[in-house]
Amino acid sequence: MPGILSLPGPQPVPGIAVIIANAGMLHRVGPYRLHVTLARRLAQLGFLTLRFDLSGIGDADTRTDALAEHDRAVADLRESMDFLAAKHSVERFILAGMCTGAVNAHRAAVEDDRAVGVVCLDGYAYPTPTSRRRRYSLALSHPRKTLRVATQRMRDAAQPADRAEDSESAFGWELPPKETFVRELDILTGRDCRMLYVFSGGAWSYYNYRDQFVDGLPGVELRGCLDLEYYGGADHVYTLTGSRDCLQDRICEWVNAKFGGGSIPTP
Amino acid sequence: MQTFYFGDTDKPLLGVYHPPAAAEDRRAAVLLCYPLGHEYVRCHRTFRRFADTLARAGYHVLRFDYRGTGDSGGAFADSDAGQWQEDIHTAADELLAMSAATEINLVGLRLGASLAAHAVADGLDVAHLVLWDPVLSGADFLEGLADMHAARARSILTRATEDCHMSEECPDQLCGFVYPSNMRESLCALSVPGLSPAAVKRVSIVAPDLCPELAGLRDRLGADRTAFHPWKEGAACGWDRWEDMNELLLPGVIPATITNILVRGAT
Repeated sequence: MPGILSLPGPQPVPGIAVIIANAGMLHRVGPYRLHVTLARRLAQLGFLTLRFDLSGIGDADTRTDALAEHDRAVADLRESMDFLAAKHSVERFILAGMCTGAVNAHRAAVEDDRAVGVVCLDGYAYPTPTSRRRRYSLALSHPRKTLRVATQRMRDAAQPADRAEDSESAFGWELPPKETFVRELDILTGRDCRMLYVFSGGAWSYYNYRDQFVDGLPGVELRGCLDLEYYGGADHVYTLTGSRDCLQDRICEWVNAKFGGGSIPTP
Repeated sequence: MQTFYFGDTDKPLLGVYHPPAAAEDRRAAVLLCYPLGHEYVRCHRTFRRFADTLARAGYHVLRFDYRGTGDSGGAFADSDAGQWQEDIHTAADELLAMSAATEINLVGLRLGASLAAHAVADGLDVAHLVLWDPVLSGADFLEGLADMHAARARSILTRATEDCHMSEECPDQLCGFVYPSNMRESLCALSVPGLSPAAVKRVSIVAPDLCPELAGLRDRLGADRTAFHPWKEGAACGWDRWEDMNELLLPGVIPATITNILVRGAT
């Protein structure tokens, strides 16, 4: 699994590293080089940052063991933690990812208690009455876009025909039963793992207002571990540079505030 | 497969070397030249597959990221066409030095084809130049990017519902990357130049159709040493469709097709 390590700047934060997982099937560079610029900025802040290709993506070969797809990604992420622990004396990790990368980061964090932070971009979230109402309202107010998205999905032969209405398999993952996710959140918050969940306007079909993540998990005690952002003016891959700058500023600020302590240098 | 950095230590270039299958070493090398901007990430996986196919056929293969792109050093906005041409020379020298091959072939896709042709015109000694769906006019390429960008931005911003406090948008951005005026000027001046028979023995043009512009290019390069090879699958690439901006290019038949073109050309 080839990866690129961005070494920390003059004031390294010891014992902790950021690992950025692949966004969908895009290789380690990320959409519009997002992972490269983010890794460089985090390194400037003092965080050792690794971005690498999970098995079967980019330059990485496919694993030869019999693990299921999601388990392979979790195994890859845990192996990357082992590598950094052995070679760079890192004991704590912040796992970050977009789309399937967010799902993989979350799952690996649940499995491995060395993960002390998770950054999920367009990851798991559950529908609410408000989100359903907004979804249909948005679909009706943009009929051409809705038709185009529907046509695109019909063209995509990989889409299972029996896709559940609110699951986001269009992004390459299936929403787990809510009780499973709640149990996993309980594991993470129980060990004070910090989470930054960011949703974009590109996820409008399943996430379309700021507090939906919390509203979709009524009664769940998040123990102050969650920070939530909603960038309705951004698409799923942050095509516009202003939205991408905004995202990177927020992630750097969050990582630094939770795990660093230095000031934020100008990129 | 061997991943390494080479060239200028301030802005090193990332290279991935694929050695030939042990029993098949042709003592010939192939340098793969990626497209640029948003097209680069669309093609990464196909280039990896292509490099594997060429290596199995006995070629020493190097694919590399130009400065400011992919995993290489520097920022995209600080680069220009002249620097990327220099990078092709640097990569060709590196490949010849590490492989001890006696000849080198160049394969470039889209702007990578145009840059490869310029590198040959600038004195790079090449046995076979493959222009894969080449960009024939840098000015037209930029105009196409501007149209796609405008459509994509409209699509994003019409969906934006709330919380659109994004950072200021850079006026020089096109399809996810910033193209400052000096870079635009260098790209506007880019077209496929005339190439003397002394510089390159054979040229192949691989494209969906032999349009009048490509027929003109073939005549200009000399029909006796320039062959056209249809690539029907390429018609679906959607290089000029904003809806396809993030669609990955599937390998399909192209790795085998171009490998066969090179093998036949060498006999």
